Amino acid sequence: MRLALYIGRRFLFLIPQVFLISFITFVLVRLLPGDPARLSLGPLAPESSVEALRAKMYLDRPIPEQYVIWLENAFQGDLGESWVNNTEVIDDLVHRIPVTLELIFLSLLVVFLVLVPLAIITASRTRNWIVRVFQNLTFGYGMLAGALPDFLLGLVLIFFLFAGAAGLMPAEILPGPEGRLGILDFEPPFVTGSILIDSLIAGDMEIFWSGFMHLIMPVFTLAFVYGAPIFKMLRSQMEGALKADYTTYAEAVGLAPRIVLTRAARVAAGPTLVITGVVVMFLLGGAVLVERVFNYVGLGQYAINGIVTADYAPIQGFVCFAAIFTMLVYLAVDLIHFAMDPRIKIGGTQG
Amino acid sequence: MALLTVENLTKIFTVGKDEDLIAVNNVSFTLERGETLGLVGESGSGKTTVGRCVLRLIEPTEGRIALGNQEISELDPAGLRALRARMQLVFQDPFGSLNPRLTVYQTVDEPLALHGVGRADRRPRVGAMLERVGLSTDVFNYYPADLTASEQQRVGIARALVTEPEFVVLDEPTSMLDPSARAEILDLLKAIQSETETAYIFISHDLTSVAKISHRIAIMYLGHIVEHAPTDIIMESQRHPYSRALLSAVLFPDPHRRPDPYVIEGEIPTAINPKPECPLYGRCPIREDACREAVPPLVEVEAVHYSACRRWDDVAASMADARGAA
Repeated sequence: MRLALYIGRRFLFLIPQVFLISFITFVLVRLLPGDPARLSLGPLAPESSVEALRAKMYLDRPIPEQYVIWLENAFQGDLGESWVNNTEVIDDLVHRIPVTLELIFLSLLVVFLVLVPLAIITASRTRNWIVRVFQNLTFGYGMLAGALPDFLLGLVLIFFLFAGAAGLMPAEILPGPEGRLGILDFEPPFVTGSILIDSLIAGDMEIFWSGFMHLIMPVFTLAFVYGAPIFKMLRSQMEGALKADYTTYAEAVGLAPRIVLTRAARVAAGPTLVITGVVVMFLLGGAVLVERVFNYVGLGQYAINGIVTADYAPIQGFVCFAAIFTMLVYLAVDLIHFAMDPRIKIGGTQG
Repeated sequence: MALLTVENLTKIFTVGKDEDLIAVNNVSFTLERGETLGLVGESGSGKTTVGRCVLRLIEPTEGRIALGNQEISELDPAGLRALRARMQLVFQDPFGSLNPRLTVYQTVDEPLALHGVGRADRRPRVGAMLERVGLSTDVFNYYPADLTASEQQRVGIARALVTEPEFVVLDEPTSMLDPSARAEILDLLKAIQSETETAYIFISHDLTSVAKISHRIAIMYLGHIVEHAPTDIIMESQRHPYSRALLSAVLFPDPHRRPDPYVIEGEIPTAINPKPECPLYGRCPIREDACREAVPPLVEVEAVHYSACRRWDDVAASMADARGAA
């Protein structure tokens, strides 16, 4: 009951925040240089038709009035139209958000399946040869992943695996950077927007497999680069917890080594969770270069194209979605935190 | 028979290729039921390592440790875990030693649960223990961060004593507390000892605290015990130049006590690959060539007074001179 109340309150706070963010974005994009009407008609069009188009786009009205019009439409589920692509922004978002979310969540999954156990193993104070080997490996990883831009890793992978004579990987095994599916593959009917889920719903294992193979490279790239802060945070927190006096005490009182490790991991989980939330939110727009390199038509590309072409509605739509998504991630992080840490009381004085 | 016997305890840490840090060097002592042994020395003298080795939280390199007729140094991990209820540890940092996610009650309950005490029996014992250390029932469900340092340390003491251990290693338990809290904790420890006959190894660099609680004091330097005697004897008359310098640096709140400055120049040297000579040789004001030939053994130079100085009688003479002059 308290939890429901808390979540309800958080959602209530979401509303003014989204309003404010959408308004600020609305004003800011209109301060960008470039006249969309002129851009749309080209330099040779007569001033009168540009004026007419500007009026059609409501650009001749004061900004507050434009915002009210946008808001009225938004409440009816209409986020405007992309002037460049002549598509409905809401449709674009519905199709592109799942692409990026699929990448983000699969990358996180890889991070949690591979890097999290590695961080715990390498933080452990037992010093047998297995731990040592992992420590040496991950030392190199920590150095590399902190310094390597994501798109560069993607390009290097593409070069070594597929490019010309250096191409080590036969396309039958791992497909090249051709997007979400092969050229001859048909997209499964749209249900959730995720290739993996939609192909399973359609029962098409061939497409599922193709989608899976196409996901390997971008997911690996993202997990490798953006798993690093999560990995480093978890490992240093684990090391700290294992060095702490309460761990020495746990050993002195006779707790089993496995429980000692679990407890340290619980203490270390808090800060790791926070940084994971930050990484997820960054990936929403920050994965754009990786999307580009692997030909994924995701959200990041959509937003960047909108900015480059002074296409107001897509930018506005993206920012609003990003704001809502960010708040939801924060909420999720907080809720997991509550569940894990008995010291934090929901709705308590610390809240 | 002594409650705890430590014989020829040595701990060597390998710090590099051909570099051995001898943290504890051939240390022997005994501890009787209900007794407190003060272990005094500067940082790096090996006193904390001795405490951890005795509990086998650090594996000793050599030496024998026996609790009654139970050889601690030969136990396997399972046997050691079973014995953990009989020997406990209190830390210097009261907050860092408490798991931040366990409440006061859970913290003190845990060792009992681990050592197989049933839930129904635990409740009154935990409650009584917490009350004994002076914590009211209001704080039972608090987390460590909600308590003052003094209260945190009381939880640490309750947790260590709740299984009724035969001896407790107190590793600088008062050094992070303010003076009034320090005195309270020392009084509490003494009161509990007189009721339960728990033996303490009290590790500290604070000589006034050590003198207040210990029956005997062993002074450590560079991994060696250099002098060892009952508290009242060693506080009055030292038989080793290092202890003399150490004690002359302590300010006692006593207007009749004349200051007796006795200075040893230099810093504590490294314990990496030490030469087989008196550990104080490089700094000693009364050294002679014979001191370089071997590590001088700890011998009983006067009744129940042990010193590892070949020239202990010169230390005694110089102390008598200083007193006479004053």
